[in-house]
Amino acid sequence: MTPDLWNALTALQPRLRRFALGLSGSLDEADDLVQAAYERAIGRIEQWQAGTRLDSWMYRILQSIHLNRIQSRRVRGSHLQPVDPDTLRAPDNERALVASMTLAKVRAFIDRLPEEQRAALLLVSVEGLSYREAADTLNLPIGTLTSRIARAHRLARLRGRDGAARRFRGDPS
Amino acid sequence: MTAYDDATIIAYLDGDLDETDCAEFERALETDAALPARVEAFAESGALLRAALAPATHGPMPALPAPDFAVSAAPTRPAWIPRAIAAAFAFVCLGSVFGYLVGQRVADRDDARVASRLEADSRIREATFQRAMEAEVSGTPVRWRNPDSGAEGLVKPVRTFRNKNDQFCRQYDRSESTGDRGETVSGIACRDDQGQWRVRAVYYAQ
Repeated sequence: MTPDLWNALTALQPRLRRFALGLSGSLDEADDLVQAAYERAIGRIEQWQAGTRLDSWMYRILQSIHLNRIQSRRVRGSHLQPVDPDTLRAPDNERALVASMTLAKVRAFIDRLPEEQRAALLLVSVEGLSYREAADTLNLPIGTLTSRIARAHRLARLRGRDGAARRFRGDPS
Repeated sequence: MTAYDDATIIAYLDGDLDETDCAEFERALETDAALPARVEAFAESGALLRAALAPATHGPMPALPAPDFAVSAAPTRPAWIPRAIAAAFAFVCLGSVFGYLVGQRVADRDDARVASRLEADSRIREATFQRAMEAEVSGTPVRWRNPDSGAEGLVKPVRTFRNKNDQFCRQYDRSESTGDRGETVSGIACRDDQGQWRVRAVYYAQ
């Protein structure tokens, strides 16, 4: 591990944390996953091939840790401790609260996606990887990846009709 | 005219159509009356996803495990090579080989210094956050500054409440700047059984 490589790795932390939040559904679990991913990366840094994408490599490590965990215990949601919105009602942050509750619905939608659609959707729609890069990261044929993303998006659109999306858009934040 | 399926619409939004298909798709957007609405519906779900997960990218990042630079920095440039060269050419170009070695060591030390400054920032930030949440009355700003990096910030508990699980929680404002870059966020943190304040929600302040 060189300081340069470590700087490049640490620069990925916010994005890895976002991916981990999408996968696990809670910030606590996300931080735990990110921590574990960095530990594994430090231990296996010689397995990373210079010239290949460092972010894809880290996404892959993180996702495989996540998969191992949900296989060994049903971890999803077990760390969720939602803040009770009733205790937050104050005039100055009501707007922020409305926005955050809408986003909580979107997060709930991500939570309900089948595991294999979730990772594909997050890598492409949130992390901005190309279909090719995401397929390589998840070790999938590109056709499989494309259809998973399409299915996840179709669900998002149908559930968005409940009004969550529209209300969010109406909020000028 | 091609009737586009959902997968193609999504691939278009994700920037994954090749040039020909993309141009054709954009022509269809002009001529197919139903297509723009279908595209918009998908575009919206992508933006919402990003917005919903944005809290993970803001706020104080948890500290990371520290790699051991001293041990593992060596393999990139085997230490014996410069030394062997230095030994072989000592009698002709001692000065320049020395210069090379010293130069490399200074560059490595610079990188390590940047990394340690960033680590120091996050250590000070986290310690200040914990102290402010644990000990300060609401409304009192607690400032921190790392003279080495120039980063500075403040944490201000805003109000305190108990959540459903009977944990103490506090709403806080936090701002931070390094040079000309700054950000301000608000959030909520709750005190866990070990007495650590854990961030539960973060949102941008106006």
